[in-house]
Amino acid sequence: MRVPKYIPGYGKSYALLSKAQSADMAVIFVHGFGGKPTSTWRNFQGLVDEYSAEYTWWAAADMFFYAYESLHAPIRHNAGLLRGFVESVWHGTWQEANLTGGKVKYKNIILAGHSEGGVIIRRLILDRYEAIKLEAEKANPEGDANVLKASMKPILESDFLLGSYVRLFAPACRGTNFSAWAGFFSSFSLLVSAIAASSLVRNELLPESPVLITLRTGTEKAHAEFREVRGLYTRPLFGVPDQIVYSESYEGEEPLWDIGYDHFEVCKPDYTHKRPLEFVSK
Amino acid sequence: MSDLERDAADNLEFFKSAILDPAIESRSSTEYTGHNIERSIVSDFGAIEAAHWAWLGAQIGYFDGKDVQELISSSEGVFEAWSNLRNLQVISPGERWADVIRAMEGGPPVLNKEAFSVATEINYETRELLQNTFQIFLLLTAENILEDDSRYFLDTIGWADDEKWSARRRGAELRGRSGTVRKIQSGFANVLGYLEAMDSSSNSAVKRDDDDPYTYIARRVDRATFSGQPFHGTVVWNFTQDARAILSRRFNLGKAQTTDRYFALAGECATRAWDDSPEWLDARRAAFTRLLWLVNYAGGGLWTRTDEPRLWNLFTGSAPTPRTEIKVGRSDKGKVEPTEGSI
Repeated sequence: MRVPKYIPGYGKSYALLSKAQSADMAVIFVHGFGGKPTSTWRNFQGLVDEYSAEYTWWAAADMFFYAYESLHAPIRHNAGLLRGFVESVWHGTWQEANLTGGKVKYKNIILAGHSEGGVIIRRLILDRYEAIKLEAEKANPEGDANVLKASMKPILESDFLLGSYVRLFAPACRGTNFSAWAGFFSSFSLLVSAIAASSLVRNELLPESPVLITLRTGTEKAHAEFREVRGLYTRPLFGVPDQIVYSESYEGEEPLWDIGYDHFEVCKPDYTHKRPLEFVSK
Repeated sequence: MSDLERDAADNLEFFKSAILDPAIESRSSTEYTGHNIERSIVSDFGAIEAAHWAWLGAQIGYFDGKDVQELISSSEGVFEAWSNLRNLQVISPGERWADVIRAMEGGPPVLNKEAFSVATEINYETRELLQNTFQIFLLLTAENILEDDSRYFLDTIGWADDEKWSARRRGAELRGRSGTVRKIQSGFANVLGYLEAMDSSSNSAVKRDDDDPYTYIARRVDRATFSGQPFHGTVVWNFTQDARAILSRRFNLGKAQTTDRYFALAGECATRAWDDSPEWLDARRAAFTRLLWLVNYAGGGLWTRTDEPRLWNLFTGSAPTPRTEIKVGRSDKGKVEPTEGSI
């Protein structure tokens, strides 16, 4: 059984490290609006090892459950904080003793998000893309579009973050339907809806919010230019029914469906619901 | 050091950072109300709960029994919390929940070490299931219940008088310096999320378990489980009921007044999302039923089973009806023995 280790500087974020010597994949889980690392993602924590014969990649995967202020901190601010977290995971700097001697341990990284977590992940990816593009434009002030693209391509392709596998459960990328949260099935979602009524992030997650529109147009444009950059494209998994988010993704991204599981259940594997274990993979 | 010993040591380190240290630190939380300084009753419960989790973890082999005893024995805050609650008569002598610590005649309270035996009869697969579930319980407790907002909410809804409860939830407490209405809302969300996750994780473990009945925790065979439930068939079910008994005490839901407050507050929240559509009306009913279940899970079964119409009126903001007369015995003094997980 894996033993949780808290990650200094990131609140209740914690790691569950693989016991395999050959662990070469990091999976970072980002919860959604009003969520928590364990409440949102249970029972990934125990089931990955129990079902490792069926879903073999989990045995060599280190898991990181990220905690953040999801109700009142802006999306872009949270994307910046997540970047710091992902960097420290990738480079192993969160551990007191650097066991890899400065070498990066991982070959691959998966970013798994639920609801608002999906928005933050996509913003993180776009931020990285835009930072690289800005640098390239500065280095080639007179360059035409083709030169710029050629100069960006190798940098984009070698960037670990842009090369990440993005796996989104019910992402709120096309907006949430807060006014219809009356479709709650549990007292918890009732409460979340009440808190949402006065939350800053609520406005950012409305379908026509500038935050979501900028993110969508930016990501679609970047993907159209660099189709080979993995992190810019994903096929999200939506529960059916889901009254909380609009079950739609970006251009060319065909959604996947998990029938019989609602917005909160879609990301929770169980003994009778193994789809999430399968979905979070390369 | 063997792998098992190393795991047990790592588990203990995790428990200390996730549960014990935050619980002890939380005891320094105080509320300034004018000239008075109020200590947090819920924080005292948290410290004693930590001793209970240690006990339960030792039973299922998650911890090395001796090491975890030493850890708890050296944590003065646990014993101070126990003495505080005894002095305030919040816990009573002979109460099973308080039994993890004992007061020696004329001496300081000490850990009841007899309780820390390991249940050796549990087979390997079941033990794995129990340990996994136990670890999830600790993580859920750490991220939901040991939060400052949750402590403030629980101190207020469960242990404050009507005047203070009313003032705090409406933002009208003039002398309090540390609380806000947002904390009440956020704490309420944490608490409901916690209960939902604990209940769901427990059910998941019970469903997974297809063992034959085993005796669970040998010393308790002759007098039912710690939770106060009659001895049940499977190890896992008894384990989940013990966890439920450990966490319930701080909610004070054996007291009718506390249960009433949960339903009134939840009803206010539901009304905020009001749209009067058929869907909303159905959803409101579903939310009420779920809340009944969760309050029952956390020790309010006495009221959820007998007073449902009145709680519904509180939830919907209808005219209140009188409370059903029930002989509650010790429960009315704040003693909570969870009842079977059905409504």
